[in-house]
Amino acid sequence: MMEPLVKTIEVPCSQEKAFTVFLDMGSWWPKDRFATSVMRGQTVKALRVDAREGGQIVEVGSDGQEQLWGTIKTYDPYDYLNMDFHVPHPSEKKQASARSRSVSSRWVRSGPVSNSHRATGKHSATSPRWSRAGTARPGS
Amino acid sequence: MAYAEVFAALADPTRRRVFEALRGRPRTVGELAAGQPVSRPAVSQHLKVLERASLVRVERRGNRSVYSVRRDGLDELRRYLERFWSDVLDAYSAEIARRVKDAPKRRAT
Repeated sequence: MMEPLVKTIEVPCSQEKAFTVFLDMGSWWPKDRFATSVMRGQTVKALRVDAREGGQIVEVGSDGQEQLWGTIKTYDPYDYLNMDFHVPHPSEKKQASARSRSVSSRWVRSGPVSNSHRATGKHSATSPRWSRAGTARPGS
Repeated sequence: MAYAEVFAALADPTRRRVFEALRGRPRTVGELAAGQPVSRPAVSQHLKVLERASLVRVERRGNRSVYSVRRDGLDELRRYLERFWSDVLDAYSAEIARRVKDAPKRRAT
């Protein structure tokens, strides 16, 4: 029901650097705006990213409370990342786990980084399920 | 903010199932309740919330109320997600720019 949401940006650095910085989320994520700690009136102490397949992305609040943001499903250094993302919206606090979106990012040399969110199947409209772009590599 | 209402409306799994059941075609409360493990009054309550969030519309046909999907709520949700990811990727891009700018300085010291 919801068309794929695809964002593409170009960054002036190597593919390796673009990938590495992306996973160093604590350094760039707009923590003062998009974080569960902010919703609780706290600040974010850290964004912990365990960069490997099965690794977790965890927000640590200034009060020590941790919030799981997502899990890395596919980790293909410098080329491709796919994550199940469960960042809750302020209005859905407790039901956060009920909503999981697949977010993928693909890096292309001398080209753009693309973050593609695709609505698929019957969950699309209600629980936007984002998956990799149509250019997904076979078997991944 | 309308998108917050849409998020709230769709955060509940049962409500989401009710909404999804309307995707194929418009249905009555009775039809919707038949496919759900919840009572008819509960389905009616969920439909009211979906209606307030502009996700469904109700049409009276004789003595029946027929519910169908509205695009408005979904469009609102999509606009929110568009803005959200634009902001996030702008921040990422700014960090890359900062590091690229800083890199020569670090080499010089």
